[in-house]
Amino acid sequence: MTATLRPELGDFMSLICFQYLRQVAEETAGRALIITAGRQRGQDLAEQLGLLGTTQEAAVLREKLDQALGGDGTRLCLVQSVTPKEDGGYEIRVAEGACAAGVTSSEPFCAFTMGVFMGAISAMTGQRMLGKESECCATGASTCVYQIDPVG
Amino acid sequence: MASRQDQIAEILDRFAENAGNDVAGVAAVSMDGIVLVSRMSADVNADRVGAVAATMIGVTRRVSGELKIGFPDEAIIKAANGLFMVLPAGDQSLLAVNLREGANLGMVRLEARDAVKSISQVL
Repeated sequence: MTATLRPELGDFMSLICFQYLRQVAEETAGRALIITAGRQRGQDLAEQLGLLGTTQEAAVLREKLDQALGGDGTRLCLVQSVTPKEDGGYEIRVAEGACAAGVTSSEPFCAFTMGVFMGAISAMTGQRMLGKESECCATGASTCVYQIDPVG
Repeated sequence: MASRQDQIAEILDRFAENAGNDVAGVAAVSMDGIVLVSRMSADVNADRVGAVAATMIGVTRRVSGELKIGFPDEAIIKAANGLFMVLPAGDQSLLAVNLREGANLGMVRLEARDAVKSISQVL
């Protein structure tokens, strides 16, 4: 990604600052606020990627999301797999997620990162989506796995 | 068997009917701020209201926790031209109610308590 917003420092900042913002905001106002921020980012991303109202092959969707969010994108996480589910939802597996990096928690911790996928898939399918984190690096798993399912 | 969404929609419709003209809109929302069913008016962005309602409950819980005053039953905003009430409906969801100015809060509360109990049984 080309630095465009800050001439000297470029577009990236440390995870330390991101995690302070995210964790203290969640401690103060709850998880919904963080998920909402993630969903908004995901919706905008889906629009930028031309995914609104489209049907995508899972492999193509994974590639597009990884390109936007992974090593060549904003570096939120590495999108390892996108698996369609029978209910119209998706299982998303990511590694090196920014929310859980270096974090140890008794509960799943990826409110922002999961919210991004909830927002992107919701925008793509035109359906409201619920999210549940079934595995999380913060609780000791090797990757983070999000179950994104339509409200129903 | 009716879907969970249909069951919740029925509960919201019953609530709105029983509470009468004081209710300008109502929605069932997940604790993460996702709208499950909305009966908000067309000029209201239900998705945004759902996110705000869930955040209100989040803030209220933290305030209650800091002050050690127990688990909150409801959060209310009283504004110049109406009120906004949010009540937890079990662990997973909440009821967001938009009320007209001068609404009979006692009556609405009674109906809202019934509605959140019913929603929590569905989810």
